[in-house]
Amino acid sequence: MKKQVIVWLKNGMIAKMNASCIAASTHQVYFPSTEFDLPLLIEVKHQGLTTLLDLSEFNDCVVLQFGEDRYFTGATYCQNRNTGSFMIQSQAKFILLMPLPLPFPLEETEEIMIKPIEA
Amino acid sequence: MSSHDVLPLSDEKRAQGFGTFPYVILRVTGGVYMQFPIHFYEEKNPEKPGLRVRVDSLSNEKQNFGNLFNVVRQFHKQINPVEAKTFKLCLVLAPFVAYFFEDNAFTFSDEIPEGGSLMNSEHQIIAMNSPHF
Repeated sequence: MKKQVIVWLKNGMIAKMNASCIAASTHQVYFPSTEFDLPLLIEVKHQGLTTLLDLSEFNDCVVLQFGEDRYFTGATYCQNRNTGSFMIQSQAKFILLMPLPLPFPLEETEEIMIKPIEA
Repeated sequence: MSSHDVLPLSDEKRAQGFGTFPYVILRVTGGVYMQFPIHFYEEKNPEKPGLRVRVDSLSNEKQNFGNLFNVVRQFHKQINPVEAKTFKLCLVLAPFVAYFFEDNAFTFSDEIPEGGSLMNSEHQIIAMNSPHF
């Protein structure tokens, strides 16, 4: 399933995308890159404090994290260069994986909006 | 030359920065595009055709690419001083990463413009019916 994701930046610009969307209903999620394209939105549905994202062998991307209020809380880069495992533990409720390179400064990220894709 | 002939980018144009990511594509009209290479430089202005962006360090790619939305927005203001007719711009970052700019919003696309007639800013055709990189 895809949803329209709008990232608001502090300078007033916005970045829009139709993102693949998955729900994290357990504390650990794994999504093979062969099944999911970037950008990818993960909506945390479980009530736990953290979610463990297994990004092993996933495509290079930047991981934008947003709280329950949809405001930006932080980011990290996923750049796999070997076959070892690579995981990220996050407290975010909305996690957006975007392809690299990112054409805006991470610190300019402000808020995320999620909408169904209009037919 | 017919409209179906293929003319790839020449080595001479590639040496000027054409066909190298990142670049901006301006849609002139249907099937006709104009390419503006983006050149990062530290001190000496490269004096090559396209957009030139001064940066602190060429090796800091994340920071340099992180300012490209602003570069495109400024460029859009320069080429669209009057609202009557606005050209569509596309920031192309990689073979499957592009952002179309319209109404102060960037829209991600994993398909980048290709084919058609590709011109430089002097309206010379530099490629036809071939990838823009």
